[in-house]
Amino acid sequence: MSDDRFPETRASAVLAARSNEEAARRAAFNRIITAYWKPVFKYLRLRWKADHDQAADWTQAFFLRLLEKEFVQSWDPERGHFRTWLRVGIDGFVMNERKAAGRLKRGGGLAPLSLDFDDAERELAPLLPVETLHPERYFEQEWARSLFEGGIAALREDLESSGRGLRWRIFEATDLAGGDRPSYRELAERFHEPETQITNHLAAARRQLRQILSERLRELTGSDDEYAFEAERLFGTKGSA
Amino acid sequence: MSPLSDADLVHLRSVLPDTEPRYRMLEQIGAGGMGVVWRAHDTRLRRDVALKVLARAQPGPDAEARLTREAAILARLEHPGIVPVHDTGRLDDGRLYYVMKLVRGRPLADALEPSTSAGQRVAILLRIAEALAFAHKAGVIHRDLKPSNVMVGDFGEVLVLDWGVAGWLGERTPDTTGATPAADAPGPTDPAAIDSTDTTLPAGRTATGTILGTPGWMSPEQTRGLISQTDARTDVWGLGALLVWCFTNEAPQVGANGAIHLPPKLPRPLKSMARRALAQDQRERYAGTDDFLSDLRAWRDGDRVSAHRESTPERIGRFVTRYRVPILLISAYITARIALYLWRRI
Repeated sequence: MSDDRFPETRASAVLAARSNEEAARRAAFNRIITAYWKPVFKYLRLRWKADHDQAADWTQAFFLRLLEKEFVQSWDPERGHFRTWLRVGIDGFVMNERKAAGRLKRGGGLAPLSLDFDDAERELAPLLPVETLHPERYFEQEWARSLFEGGIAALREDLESSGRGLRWRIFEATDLAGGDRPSYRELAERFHEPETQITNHLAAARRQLRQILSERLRELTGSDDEYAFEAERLFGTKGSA
Repeated sequence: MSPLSDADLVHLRSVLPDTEPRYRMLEQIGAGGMGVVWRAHDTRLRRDVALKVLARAQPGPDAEARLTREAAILARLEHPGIVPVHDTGRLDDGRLYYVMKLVRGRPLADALEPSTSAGQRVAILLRIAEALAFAHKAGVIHRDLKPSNVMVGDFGEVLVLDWGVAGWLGERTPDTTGATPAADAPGPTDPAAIDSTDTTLPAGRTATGTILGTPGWMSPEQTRGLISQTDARTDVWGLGALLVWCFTNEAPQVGANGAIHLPPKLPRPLKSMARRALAQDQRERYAGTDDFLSDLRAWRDGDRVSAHRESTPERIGRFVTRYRVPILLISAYITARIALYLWRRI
């Protein structure tokens, strides 16, 4: 992060998506789609039991529909949270699509979005087939996963580009180690650093990740109250908004 | 990057610190050589504030000491004319910051319009001088008075800003004699000029070869690098400069012999005040801000200004102006009595 940008606060993308300015709306849309396309695809696969191609097709069509100003303006920040509105919107969209099947070719005439559905499918494979899935809970979990993945990628990019690769490697070795996490002593030996430095690096990386995630969460919420609600779901705390 | 496993997701959700950043940065509203000022949102108290943070390119203990000192000075000065400090801390990247009230208003230059009366201009000067007098009583000197460091708030409040080169009265600070402003030194309104000094280091530590204040707005002792000689009279010089500026929109013009060229449109008593405040020799200036304030109030109230030797017509004019209501009443009474007398004679 450059000096001038740090620590930055980006405006709410979900509010900007309702803007009258085409450029602002498209920029906001890109931020929303980055956070939501995987959860939407997986949700369609599991909740609506769509096959890979159909889920990919619906995901494309749904986000292209989302880009339409009138559609996003049907969301009222005063009346509901964006994530809930989006999930309900997917259900309505699928039902409409099924009714219209055979009458319309989905996404006809619209440029497809560049989304790696095969990657999402690979992540989904261990869960299939699923019969006892709670759709709403699953959507929330995948949304959290997508947010964390984006945040971790941003953390890595910042640490490595700013000469703090060691901090990233310590964080990766600890918090992205899967089930079996190394002790501080093991990390100290592996990275030839005192244990105090290991804990310092780890604390700083976690703090930065939390900050990145908080900023992104603000983008995806339309009010302080919505942010507080989502922060509680995501981190288990209300935050301080 | 491989997908985030359930185990890592659960782990991360449990270990990330639950401390939300207290301040969300909204936009950069100022920058100097030492620090950057942001408009920020205090997420705990839900209000916007101004947050001054060290620039990344200025790390090190000296820069931190300067910012800490600036915050400590401001914290001591609780006065309506001085921006209060709310908080200090460090950002996640370790940079030191302090938080102060966000001033909503206009710089002095924008607040004064051609239609602004002399009385209103002096009223603003009075507020500035009162803030300075308070600071001096608290043992602090500003040392960088200039129009861009004065803000007039939306509700008429007048605030003296940027105490970045302020110092403690009586502090022993080595001089930087010989350090004269470079020819291309920043102009009076260049925000970078505010931080163009290293002389606000902790007492006894001064970087040589630097200047203290803003070229064009520095007192003679500052210009000569005699930092140890800066005292309350240095701010008196600054007040004199602001007095001139408030009526002319120009910084005082100092001649080669040190004489101050004052514009003819400045009222004569104020001209005398400016001349005394802007004296080259500190001993010839007002002894302190209180004396300057007394003269300013005297001019406002139509009293005699101590710095000005009045001519007889001036004294009569001031007397008439000050007591114009009773004089008018008495004149009307006398006229009426004369008229009554003449009418009875007829």
